[in-house]
Amino acid sequence: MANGKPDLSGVYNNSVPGAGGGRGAAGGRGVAGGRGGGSGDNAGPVLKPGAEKFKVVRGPNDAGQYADCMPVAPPQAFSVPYQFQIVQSANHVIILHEYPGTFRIIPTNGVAHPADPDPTWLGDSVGRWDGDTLVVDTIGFNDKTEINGYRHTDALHIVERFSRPEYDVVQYEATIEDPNVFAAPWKVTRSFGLRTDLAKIDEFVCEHNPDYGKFFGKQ
Amino acid sequence: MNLRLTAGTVAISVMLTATPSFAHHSTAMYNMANPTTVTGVVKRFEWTNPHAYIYLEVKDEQGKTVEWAIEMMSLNHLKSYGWAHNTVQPGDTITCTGGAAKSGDPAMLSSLIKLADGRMIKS
Amino acid sequence: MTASRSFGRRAVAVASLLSLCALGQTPAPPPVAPAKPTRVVPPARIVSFTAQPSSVQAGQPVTLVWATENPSGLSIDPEVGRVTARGSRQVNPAGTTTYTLTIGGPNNTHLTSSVTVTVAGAAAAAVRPTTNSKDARMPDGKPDFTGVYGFAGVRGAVAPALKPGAEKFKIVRGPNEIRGNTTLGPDCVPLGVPQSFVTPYPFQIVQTPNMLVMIFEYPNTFRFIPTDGRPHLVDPDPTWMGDAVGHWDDDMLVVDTIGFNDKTEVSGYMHTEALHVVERYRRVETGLQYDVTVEDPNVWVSPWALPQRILPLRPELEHVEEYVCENHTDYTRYFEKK
Repeated sequence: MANGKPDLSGVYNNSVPGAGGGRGAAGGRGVAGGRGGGSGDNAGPVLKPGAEKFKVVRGPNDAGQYADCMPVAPPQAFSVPYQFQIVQSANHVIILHEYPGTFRIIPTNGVAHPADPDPTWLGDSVGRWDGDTLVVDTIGFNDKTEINGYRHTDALHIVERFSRPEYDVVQYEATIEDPNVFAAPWKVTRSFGLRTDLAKIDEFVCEHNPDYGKFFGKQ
Repeated sequence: MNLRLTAGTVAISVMLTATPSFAHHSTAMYNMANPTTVTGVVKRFEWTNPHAYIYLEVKDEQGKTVEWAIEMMSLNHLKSYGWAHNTVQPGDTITCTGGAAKSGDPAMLSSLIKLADGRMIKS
Repeated sequence: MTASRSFGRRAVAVASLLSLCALGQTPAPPPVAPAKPTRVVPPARIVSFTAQPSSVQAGQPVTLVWATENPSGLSIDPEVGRVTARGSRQVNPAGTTTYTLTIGGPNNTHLTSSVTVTVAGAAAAAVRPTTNSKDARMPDGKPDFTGVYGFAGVRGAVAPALKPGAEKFKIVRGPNEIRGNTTLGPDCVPLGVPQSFVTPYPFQIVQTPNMLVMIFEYPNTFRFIPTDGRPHLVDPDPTWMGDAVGHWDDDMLVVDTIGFNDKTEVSGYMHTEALHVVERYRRVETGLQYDVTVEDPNVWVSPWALPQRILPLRPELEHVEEYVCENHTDYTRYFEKK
């Protein structure tokens, strides 16, 4: 970038962490360091005592968390099998998720969070550079989303770190905390492969979304 | 404190409501020309798009409790009137004025609300 | 000067009483409903205005926090300018500064409230970089349109003649129509181009050397406009917002869009997938001067140049808001009495 910062712009594959926090997977080409450092990464959170209700338990007649095209909070947003796009300008980084067509606007010009943010699905993000790593701090979430199988309250606070160690890889680490739910902050690490064949993500308009509940069984 | 009110007339707020100038969609299903007012207790406040909703428990003439669906503007508009997600809480007694559904269903598009402490706010 | 306290409930009650007493009248009981309804104008009020903290060392930032109700235009001076009804903003006073919040109410009233921030020592005030200036430029010299812009109103537009047999494309709305005159419906689908500008919601442009991203608050859709000279996709998948390419003609951005589906409206007309839209954007003092020509050989006999609009800059908005279409009311059952 003109200001010397790395340019993260590009279209990237989402990736799903390996089952049980094993090998980190990237949808793109060869990737370094998929698993990330530290034995605790990708191991999942420990719940605060009394917070067991926040663990999502799905019955057999549940159409799943993606049945309604509602926004998906980070880092869950990077787990769906669609692409995302980063557009970086002088004072903003925008992350656009092909599913479900949502965007996050991250100012990088030093603005602070609002004093009392209106709770939203994707929160209020501010970004700053720590050397060559973009650090994004997000608060102001509503309580309607789930992350890696856990619901949360509007005290959710996420710090994400994005870096681009190679041309075709974005390295990602998210630290997630919610003092009402988790005993301690926990981390998720991912690698995302660049899609050199895509100039932009596709439009995704949830036009035809049936109520799947009635399909499960005879009434 | 430093409140200064500069001289000028102030419209006393009485009377009936105007159609919101930019409803999200047509308001033809609501009787905006002949507004209705209901008072009740907030059961639920949904701070959502495309319309925020207050579900209000209203006693009808027989003393039976009827749940009214009070539709309001979208969050962007509400915020420009000074609303926040907690301006109304379950248990508040409020009064809503607006166009009721032509079908007779207990539903309205409200454009003015008197909050629990008597403050009037556009909706 | 010591820091003033923010408004409390007592102050609000006093303000309301003052406003009611301005004409020497006491509040009257509501009269019996007359035959013709008139507009209600609830009083504007400042609920609170504080500086956190109100006393700092030079160079430390301060957060101004405010809440108002029913305002019709408000600003904070110095340094901040136009603001939204509720919000907060970080300021960097160089010395002891009194910030004043002014809001307009009905019938040309104004209310003000002030807070003073005491600054020990002296420092140069940090300047927030602004990309809202009419003369903002990208590193390569092209105009920088980054910013948040608003609604220019609904303009009457006279279409060219319809092609014979194309009468069905003209939209006729009946009395039990859910879509209003700006086509917003309860389904929150994208509105296409240029109809996306015909909503009372802002849009945001973020510009890089190779593209512009345009984000529409309603209904939270976006368009990519590459400016690197690439051509259109050869057989674009029809989409609501189309496939756009842009190029600079001096300080004017020309955007050519094809690849629309047939589900959107252009100023009272439906169209086919042959819709072709050419837009011209130029930055002027108050915002973006916007010209657009649409053509669809299956609908109109000639291209249609819509009236020019100025899409106003919204300096009080940092970004567009989230808009998530969560509830889907079935309005059809409200029309007719049971």
